[in-house]
Amino acid sequence: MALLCLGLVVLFTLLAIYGEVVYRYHDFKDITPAYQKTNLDLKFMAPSFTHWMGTDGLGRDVMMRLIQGVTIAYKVGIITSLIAIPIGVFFGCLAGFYGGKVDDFVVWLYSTFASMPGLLFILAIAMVVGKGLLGIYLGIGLTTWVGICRLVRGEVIKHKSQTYVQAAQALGLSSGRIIFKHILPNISHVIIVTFTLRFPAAVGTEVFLSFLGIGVQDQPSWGLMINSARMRLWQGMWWEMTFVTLAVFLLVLAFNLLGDALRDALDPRLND
Amino acid sequence: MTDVNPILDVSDLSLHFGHGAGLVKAVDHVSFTVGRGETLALVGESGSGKSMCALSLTKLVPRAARFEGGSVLFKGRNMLDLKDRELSEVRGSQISYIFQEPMVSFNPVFMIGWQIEEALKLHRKDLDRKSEVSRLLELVHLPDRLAKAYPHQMSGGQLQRCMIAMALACSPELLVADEPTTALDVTVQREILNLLKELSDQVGLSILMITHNLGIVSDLADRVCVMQQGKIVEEGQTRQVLDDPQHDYTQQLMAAVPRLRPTVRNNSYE
Amino acid sequence: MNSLLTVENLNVIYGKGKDSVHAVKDVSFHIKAGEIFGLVGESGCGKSSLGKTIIRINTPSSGSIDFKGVDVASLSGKALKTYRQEVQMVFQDPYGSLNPRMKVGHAIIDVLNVHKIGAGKEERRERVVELFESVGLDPEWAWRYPHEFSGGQRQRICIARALSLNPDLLVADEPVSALDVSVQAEILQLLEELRIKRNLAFLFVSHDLAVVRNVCDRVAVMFNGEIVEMGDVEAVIDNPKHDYTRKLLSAVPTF
Repeated sequence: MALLCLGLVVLFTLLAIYGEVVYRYHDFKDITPAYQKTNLDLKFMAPSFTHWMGTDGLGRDVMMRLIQGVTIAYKVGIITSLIAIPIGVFFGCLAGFYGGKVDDFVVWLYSTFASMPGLLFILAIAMVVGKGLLGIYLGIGLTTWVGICRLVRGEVIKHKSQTYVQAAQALGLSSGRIIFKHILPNISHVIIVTFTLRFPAAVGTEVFLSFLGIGVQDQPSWGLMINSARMRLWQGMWWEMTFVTLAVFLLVLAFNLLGDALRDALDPRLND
Repeated sequence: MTDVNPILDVSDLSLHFGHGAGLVKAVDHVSFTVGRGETLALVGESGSGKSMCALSLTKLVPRAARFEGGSVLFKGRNMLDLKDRELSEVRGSQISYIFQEPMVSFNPVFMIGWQIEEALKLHRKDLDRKSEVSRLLELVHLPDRLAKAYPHQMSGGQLQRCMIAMALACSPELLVADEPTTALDVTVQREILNLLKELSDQVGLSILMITHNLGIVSDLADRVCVMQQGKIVEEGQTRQVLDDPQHDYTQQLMAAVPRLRPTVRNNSYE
Repeated sequence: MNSLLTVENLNVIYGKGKDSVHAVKDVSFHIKAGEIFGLVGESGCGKSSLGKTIIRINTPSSGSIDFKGVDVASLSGKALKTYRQEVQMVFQDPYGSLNPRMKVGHAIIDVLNVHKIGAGKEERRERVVELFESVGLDPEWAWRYPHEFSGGQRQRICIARALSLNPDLLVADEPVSALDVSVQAEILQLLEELRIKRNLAFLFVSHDLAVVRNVCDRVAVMFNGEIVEMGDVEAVIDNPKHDYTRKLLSAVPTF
């Protein structure tokens, strides 16, 4: 099962890289890529051998747009993680290790963030930096570090009381070195697992935001595709909606199951 | 004083882990008996298989372990042949265990008295549980009010007494004590040892004592079995084994133990 | 007077106000160079707090800790780091005191790096080899993870790590109580060897009177944060003066 998920994740990753290369190539040559070409004669074609997943309302190939959508989803998943995880890990380590006033401050900070409805916060950020991917990156990144911070803080508190940390203190190692060189490798499995679990959550949020119209504007995001497909669903144009939701479902499922498998494999307590 | 009709008769017991090159004979053709009212000590270092022996009695062994023959006769019944349901009736009501770590052996969110009552509920439905709890606490010399205490409010020694009270809840005939005082201070250990001695004298409890401490063996046990790498290498009356060890390993073990009064080592027991 | 460490009227109080715990009360003693000084008592008597205060993981509330003529009770920053090269600690739990994600040799090199001992990678690696040999371990094993070692071997590694800074005083907090008796005997022998070869002094914290009797020169008995009796180990154990010492001695099961 874990191998199957890993296979799916690898497949999605390859598609994402392929999508990015195609996008860059057309951007560089300044030509309209195939997935953006509209051809009204071909609109609403059901799946066939030429268009495996059919075409949308402007005659664009659904499969091509779906693959481009993977790229957007990956960018969102990875960039928001790059924003959220360092913040969460940094504050979590400080709070867990030093305790006292530092801990009080960090707990106050993340409680404040956690008490704000995430969507409102993202909307506010999108208002400031404008619609588009940047707003999504910042909005999701700056709201989702709270969970990681909490987890890391707890783990650090647990490790702080272990003798090897005291031994390191007795040997004259500085606090920074103890936190980042000694404790951090011991809690890395928590961070990796968190990454695999929050990745699909971020993708889900992006889909949702694009659906609401405050996300991606001119790129074929899955959210936009679902938004445009829903109008035609009752007319029997089932293919766009089906394949996009299927892709979202598979991506989320694969990452979640992979996260579970990784947690089992990486947790030293389960291995010994 | 080998009993003609012992309460526990383990013969030729073998317990293995793994296969091929990874085969570990945790218990290797072990035989011993515990007579009624007798205290037998199994001594050995970590990894000698003494704890596995104790757990084998009611098949509490880890799932990876395999029984490779032998029998465990408890009051004439072979425990290895019993079904899980029959075994769980024996556990607690006829054979009780106490373990090394009293701090983690209790559920932290329930009162002690309640936890002892739970043990009573499982095996003895007929009696007045409140008064039985008081009786048990009195038996282990704890004040009645501690029935309303939570585990974290008690010291290690008090918790170990509660463990013993819980183990005695269903008046078992055999008490298996696996390193019961290792986590305790010496003065507390002394109290617990005295308590066990008292129980064995007054109630006629049979005790199988697992320990690495030869001092405890000398204090408490009638007979002793020395284990090394899954095998019993020496067996006999306690004083006889400790005063005149026959096997090399027993001699090594005794030489390795630091003595409180090294000068009087040889003439303390004449 | 050639005393290495002199502790005078040391107090350690945890917490403030009503919840405060007076862990160490007005303790005074001294340790000479090359001496093994035992500290016995039951759990909660303050012996570990005292040990940790001497290596300055804890800060004392009042009193002085004089080490080679310097009062270390209030050191901080650079000076504290220097002090920690001279006083080291070995802990009870050989399983917990090594970082499970770090090869044991790297754990030692890490310490050498921090204290800038030895020039360059090669010299530090050589130092690890020397240290491993000095505690009776095969230097080949330096590049393994802690879980590949037995309890006794791990305790040797911890001792090697503590020795890496060439200390004059080693605080050993129950160094053998988690080990089997035969392994225990080997480790005690190693400590004795180190004392002779390096003129290393020990503060040997233990609850086991028999062990203390066998390795220590002098001993202090702690009860409720105070030292109730102190003297040569034979005198204290064979002829105890204080009631508590007598109670402790009579509780030990002997054979």
